[in-house]
Amino acid sequence: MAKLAPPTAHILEADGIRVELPGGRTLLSSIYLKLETGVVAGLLGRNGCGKSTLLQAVFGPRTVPDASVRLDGRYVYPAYRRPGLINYLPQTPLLPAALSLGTAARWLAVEPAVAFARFPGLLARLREPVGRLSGGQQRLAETLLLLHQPTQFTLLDEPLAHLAPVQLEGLGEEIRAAAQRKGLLLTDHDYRALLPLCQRLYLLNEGRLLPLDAAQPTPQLIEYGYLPGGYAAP
Amino acid sequence: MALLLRLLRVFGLYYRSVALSHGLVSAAILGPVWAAGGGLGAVPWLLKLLSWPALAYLHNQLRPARWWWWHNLGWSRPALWGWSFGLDMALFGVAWQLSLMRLG
Repeated sequence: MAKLAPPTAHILEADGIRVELPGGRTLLSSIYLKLETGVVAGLLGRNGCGKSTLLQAVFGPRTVPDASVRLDGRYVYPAYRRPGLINYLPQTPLLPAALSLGTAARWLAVEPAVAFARFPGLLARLREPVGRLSGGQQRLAETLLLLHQPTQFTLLDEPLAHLAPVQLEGLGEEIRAAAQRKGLLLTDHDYRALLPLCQRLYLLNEGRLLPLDAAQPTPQLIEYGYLPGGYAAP
Repeated sequence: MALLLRLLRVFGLYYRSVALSHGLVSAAILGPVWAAGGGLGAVPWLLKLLSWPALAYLHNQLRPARWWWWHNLGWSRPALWGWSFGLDMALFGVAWQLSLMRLG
């Protein structure tokens, strides 16, 4: 049997992203983000610090003057217009409610039997409109579809929200498996579930993107006020 | 051919959500004008054109989250609106011609 070749490694870098809010407050100012094939990067930060804005700026539809997004050193902005490069899970529901789950999968060039193999509850509902699924099921299905969509990078904004513990465990396995073939950036407030998945960590603090020690992030997270003082790592 | 089918599939879904409702509303408004004929030939076209900015505004206000679905398929807002507008006007033109042939 022929052995499958490992996926080619790619690097996606973003910098020059500066976003000011209408009131004059600077939301994002000093940003350098690096994603790599085979690496799960985590993005932490307080509510309203600009995590979603950063993801949307990297993805592309949110136009940012002077933003530079590069794939292997080549400019690719807006990234979402380049086929097979990147996809993005927003915090809001992604899939059109009237589409069936199976049809949505086909639109994204995903084989549903593979994407939902760990989740028989979703497999059994492929013919139902997405709108009939519960909020947690929709979130899970959307995340799985984007993980399995044939793109080189995937940005996930709060993929762990609304999920039951057993689903979290299964999704964690899916994220690790997806990282074998693509680069991932995750942001979520459930940092207890997020940290074990990540090999690289960033903290967005006062507009600046700070790289953290992924092996021992707790002291820095306390120092920058993301975790309360005296927090004990799980 | 595959590209054509893909384009038709995209606009089938998008058109269903945007332009079909627009078409029904504009048909209801324009029907009486259309039927009157005479020197009112340009009026339906004008109303049809003017209704598009209003539709674009309403659609952006009512369904902003849905853009992410299309962006994940590689479509920008201008591309989607441009193709939908073009398709809608083309269909309107065909219907217009058929109507003229019938009246004539």
